[in-house]
Amino acid sequence: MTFSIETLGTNTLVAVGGQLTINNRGEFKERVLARLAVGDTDFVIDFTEADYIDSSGLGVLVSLSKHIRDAGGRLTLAGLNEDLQRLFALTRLDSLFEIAESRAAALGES
Amino acid sequence: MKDGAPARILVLSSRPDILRAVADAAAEIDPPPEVRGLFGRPLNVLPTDLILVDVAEPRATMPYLHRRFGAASALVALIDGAWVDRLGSALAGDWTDYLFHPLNAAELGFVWKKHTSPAEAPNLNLDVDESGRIRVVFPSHVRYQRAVVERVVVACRHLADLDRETAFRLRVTLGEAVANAILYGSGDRPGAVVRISAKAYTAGLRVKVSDEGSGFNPEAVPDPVSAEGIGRPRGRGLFLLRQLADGVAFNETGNSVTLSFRGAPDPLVRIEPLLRRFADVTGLRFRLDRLFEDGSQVLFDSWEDGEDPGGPPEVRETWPLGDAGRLRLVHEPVRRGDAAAALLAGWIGAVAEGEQSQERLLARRLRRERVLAELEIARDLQLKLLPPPEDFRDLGRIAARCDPALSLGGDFYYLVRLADGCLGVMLGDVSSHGPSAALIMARTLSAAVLATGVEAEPAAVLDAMHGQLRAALDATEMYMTLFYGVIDPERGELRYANAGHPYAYLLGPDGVRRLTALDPPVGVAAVRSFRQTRLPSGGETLLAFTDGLAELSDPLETPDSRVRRRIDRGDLDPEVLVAALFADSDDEMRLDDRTAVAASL
Repeated sequence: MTFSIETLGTNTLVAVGGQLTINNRGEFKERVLARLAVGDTDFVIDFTEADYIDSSGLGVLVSLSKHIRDAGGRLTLAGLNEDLQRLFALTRLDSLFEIAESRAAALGES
Repeated sequence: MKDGAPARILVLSSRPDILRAVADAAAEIDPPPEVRGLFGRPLNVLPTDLILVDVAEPRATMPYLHRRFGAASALVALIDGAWVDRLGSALAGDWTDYLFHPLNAAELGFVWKKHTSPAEAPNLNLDVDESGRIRVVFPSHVRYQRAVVERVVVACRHLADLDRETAFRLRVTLGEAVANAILYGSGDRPGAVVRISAKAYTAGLRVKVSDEGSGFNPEAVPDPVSAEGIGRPRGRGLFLLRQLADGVAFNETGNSVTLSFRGAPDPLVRIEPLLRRFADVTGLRFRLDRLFEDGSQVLFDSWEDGEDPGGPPEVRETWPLGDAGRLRLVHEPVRRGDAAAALLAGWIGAVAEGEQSQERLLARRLRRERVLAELEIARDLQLKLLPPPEDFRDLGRIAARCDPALSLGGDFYYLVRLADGCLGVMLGDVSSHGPSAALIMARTLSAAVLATGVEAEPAAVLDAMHGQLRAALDATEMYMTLFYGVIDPERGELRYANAGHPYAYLLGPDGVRRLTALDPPVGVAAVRSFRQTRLPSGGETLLAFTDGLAELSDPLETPDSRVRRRIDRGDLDPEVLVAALFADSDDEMRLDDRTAVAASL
């Protein structure tokens, strides 16, 4: 997996490539929490280049969304492919998260 | 390094400058590893080897690399920094690591040390026993989880011919089952392992994951989609297993879970019902029925003019079939269906339409090449368009094999049952590879179906096909070599026409006769009518093969001398001949399609 974090206007854009799984969720969570700790509030996680998230990865997203909400921030997920959309629908997490079709849509909305 | 086996850096690239750059960088590593180019050279890959893959190579696809190199070696993407457009897709692959060209010696050294230390190279190889059961035992640690899961999924796709949707469900559920086995079963104490075994049955696939833990009670896991469960970060793994596998069974202890998947064909691709008359003319219905024996969704449908089509409202495309009614595409398929439908639509459309609108259709298909990204599936489909030689076994001994080099190829063969116990044998080679060649190939095949249904003589068949294909070949600047022979056992002769195809032979106890080309390749020159000739033949073997099988590793040998050598050995049986041709040219790195057909009546 690869991920990059950059600031775009008021948003913190986290781009995830490859797979978000049990093997790398820890590092992913730490890096996002580190940005939350320095005061970032509005996060967009872009999965356009990601092809797989396992249940641990979903768990990390649930946990991050709670942290971000508690800090008064906002988390938007973007660019979920068909498989990932199916996973979110199956686990009903599509009702828990704000989900945008693309990175552009996610950044434009907020 | 394991067992003291020498570790090497293998480079899969056809660019000499890359090979040189890797060798230069490797010379600075202490001690310097051996560097070898993999291009064009079959090589035994050791589990300790580090493999650098130039992502611009046409064969650098994950399914291919996994098949070719197995699991134990580290696959590192080598990306030319100048090719930014390759970056996205290169990064999306399941690579062990990445390196960029121009190569930095320090980075190569880092990657080398990181991926060739003993701790990083356990044996993740899959064993497949005689009954076709896959087994793998691997150290219980999350760092091996993805690699093992991906390998098992790839192997299962081959073993059980899984469609894409089932492969997705397997990938997700096996990932969860393996993660559970590592985290809550075997744990990560030294020496702990997790076992996977998988076997395909007619009814589907079963995969068993076992750990060394004391088990757990699956009933005790709370529901993650309930109002209180949804906000919890944990507890989704088991839920996904139950949602996505067709069957989930734990053993009594709870330290072993068996996932089962029904062997349902892809429900998105269903051809039904083609107009009877249309189907009778082309033999299409039979072939399509065999392709998709079951399913639930309608892809194509047809109806008579003036009749109310009714049925599903989403008619996406229609093609008139002259006075035979219309053919309509009623479901816009996704993913697997896209590739399948693009090929099929090209094929069916080619049969169904007049020449001018065929060009439009073809142009549209070519523009949709991107849709053919699911090449592996399209390749399966392409191969299924070719008639299986077994269907002609009552006529004589017949063998045929087609093996595209890229996922989609331009080679094809065709066999057709003719009047009076005659057999038509066709072999063609389109001057290109990939999706556009495959579409030309599909159209040629449909032209062959039509032409051989109407014309009896080889030259007349080529004339008719030429008329059908001329504009398409002109438009795409492709050409093809085409051989068509009719074996007539009653008259004891072979009649054939040959448009520029170099490798066609008649093999008998008296020796080899080359069936030389009588005309230039189709699409190269204006040919008014093709020529044909006849040779006496009683029980002799007709053999034709394409370029890919003519390229030989021994520069002193020619295709002719190789065929003669086969005769000297007495290999006249079609099956033996075809198998031997493929065995002789079994080079994993080849870039050309390989097709051969042989028949003896």
